[in-house]
Amino acid sequence: MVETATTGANRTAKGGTPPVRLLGNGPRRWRWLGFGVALMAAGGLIAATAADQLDDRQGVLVAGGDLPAGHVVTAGDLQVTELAGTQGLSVVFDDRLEEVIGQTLTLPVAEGSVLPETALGTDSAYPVTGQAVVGASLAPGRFPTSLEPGARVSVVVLGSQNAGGNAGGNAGGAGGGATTPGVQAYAAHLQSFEPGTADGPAVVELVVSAADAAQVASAAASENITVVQVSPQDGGQ
Amino acid sequence: MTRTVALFSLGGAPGVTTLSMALASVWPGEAGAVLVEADASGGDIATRYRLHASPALIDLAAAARRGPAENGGATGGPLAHSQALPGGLPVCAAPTTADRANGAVELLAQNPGILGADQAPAVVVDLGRLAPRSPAARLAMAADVVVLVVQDDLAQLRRVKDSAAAFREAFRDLRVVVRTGADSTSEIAEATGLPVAERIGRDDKAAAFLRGERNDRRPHKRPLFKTAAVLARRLAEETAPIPAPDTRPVGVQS
Repeated sequence: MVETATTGANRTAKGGTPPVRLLGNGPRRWRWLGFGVALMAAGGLIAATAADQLDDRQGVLVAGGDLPAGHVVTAGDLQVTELAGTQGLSVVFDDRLEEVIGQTLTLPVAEGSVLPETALGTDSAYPVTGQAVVGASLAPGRFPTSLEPGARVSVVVLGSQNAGGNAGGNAGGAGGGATTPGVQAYAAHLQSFEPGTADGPAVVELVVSAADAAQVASAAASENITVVQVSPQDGGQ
Repeated sequence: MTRTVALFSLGGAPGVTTLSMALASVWPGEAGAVLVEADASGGDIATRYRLHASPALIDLAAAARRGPAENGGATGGPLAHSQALPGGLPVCAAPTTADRANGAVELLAQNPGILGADQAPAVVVDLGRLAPRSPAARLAMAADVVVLVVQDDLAQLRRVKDSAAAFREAFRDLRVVVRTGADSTSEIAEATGLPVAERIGRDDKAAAFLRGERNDRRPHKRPLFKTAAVLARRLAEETAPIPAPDTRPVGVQS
């Protein structure tokens, strides 16, 4: 007796597929293992790259010693340090090292402090318009020993007989102030300061208003000046 | 009552072992089926799945020879002499060489009733290539359902046609499964004189999976297993009218 069912007779009536009581017994796919290892390596590489990009530390230039204003920068003056979060700060990055060398500082920079972008200028940019640099030698006792480059000082000119109202007016107009007749004071910055030997004179360079430069220079030539250190908050008065 | 399904070919390697495994692995019901590899020319499953030498067909044959009396009245059937493949399919694997396998099948054919000795719902028997008056032919005659696997190939189909009359007399319930080919099912049925129960397409991936050469996460999605599931459900549910057992030798012309 022969079964008469034909192909597909019952197929549509029966849905679902029963489970197969067999499991794969094939050879291990070593290439999948290799793929996994490669994937791990790639993940590590991506993570390392991402971490590297997140770390935005950059090299910035730092003064290797006390640099006075007007100093021409040389390679020996500079050090490089890694710094993060420099956005919005006036700093010079180390990739501009070559460019910085040979420039003139318009501001004094203390040892170990970051070189500000604003302190860099060319020779023609120093001293800035409206200012003048006056050199003077000071006898001991005519200056406080606490002077440092960059200090805000008041230059007091002694016994200027011909100053009178004329000079006082000028000084007053320039922000200086004549408080005693015959004695005039001029606001200034100390650019450099070289203390002399035991009893020798100290040599200073003073940045003064251009209008005051002649008065101060002539007084300095006759050694009639005294340098008074004032609080920066007093605006040189 | 255990249902025995015997699969065989008339030569040409149309994939009897592949279909037997697929059929047994998707047999419906909780308990499923036991696969007995009774291929007299030697088995492949033990090698493919690295099975132990025992328990296997040799042990089943030995138990068949001893009979229930010598085993204390309780003879284990195929399930008692099988090893589970990965996935849980119990297999009673044939020895790899023809001489030992042929001896085991011969012993089994002397007592085919042992195939239904344990309470497994179904036993799928892979008989390999069937020769007339062979022990395998006697096993096929004792089976509830016989499935002839044939390639869609002119020589094969001619062989089936010439054997059809003898098969009708010898087997209680014969089904024909045709593998691959371009001929239409009705043409084949007409040419062979036997109805075609199922067509099985080419499915190299499923075949490689069954050979243990390939991993597959969802084998039930493969066409071979889908077709096998349909066939298994039909074989399990449809009970053919059983004529009086015919003990005449099978006259297969090959």
